[in-house]
Amino acid sequence: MSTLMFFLLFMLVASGLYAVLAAELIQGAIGLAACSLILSIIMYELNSPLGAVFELSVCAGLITVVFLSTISLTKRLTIPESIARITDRRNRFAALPAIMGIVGFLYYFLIPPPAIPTIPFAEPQTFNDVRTMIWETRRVELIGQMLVILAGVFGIVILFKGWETNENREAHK
Amino acid sequence: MNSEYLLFSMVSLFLAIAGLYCILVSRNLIRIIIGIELIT
Repeated sequence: MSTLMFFLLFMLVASGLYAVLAAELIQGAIGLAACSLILSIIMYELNSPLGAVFELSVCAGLITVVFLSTISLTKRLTIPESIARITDRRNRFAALPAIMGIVGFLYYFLIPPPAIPTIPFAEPQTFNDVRTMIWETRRVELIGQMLVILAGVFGIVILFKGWETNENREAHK
Repeated sequence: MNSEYLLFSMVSLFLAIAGLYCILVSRNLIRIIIGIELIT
């Protein structure tokens, strides 16, 4: 295994931790985008360019845009609220690195390595054209993915519309 | 091969723990989605 792959795997875990531990939501979303970007580089290094392209376009691109647009609709905290939030988060997430360290130690030293399947890997199917693979072989998955994304976007729109109406009602009272 | 398998499985285990902890501890919907995303 190359040094680059070690570095990428280390960065993958580091960016994942950053996404979870970051105090601001926007920092968490950027950490998640960095995580997806590193994962797409790893997929490309492991000879899976199509998976890398989809990871990069959907997870690092689309999901980040949806997150950032949703976060932009939220209200910014004041400085005392922000400090209280950071302290609260620090207390709640203090155990995470310790848990990860303990589980990693147990997995590495105590649990015997799992048996690697000895079945030879099947030759990957070669597709002459990406369009054929996406629109004919994977059509059902593609339609499902579109529906999930649309449901998410419409759900966010309806959710925030409802909240805004309730706030307006309270403001008019 | 075995060391590679171990390393990749450890990385995926770390990410799964981080995502699960984020889901269980967070009170914010976006944070929970970030946790689910990390697990997947």
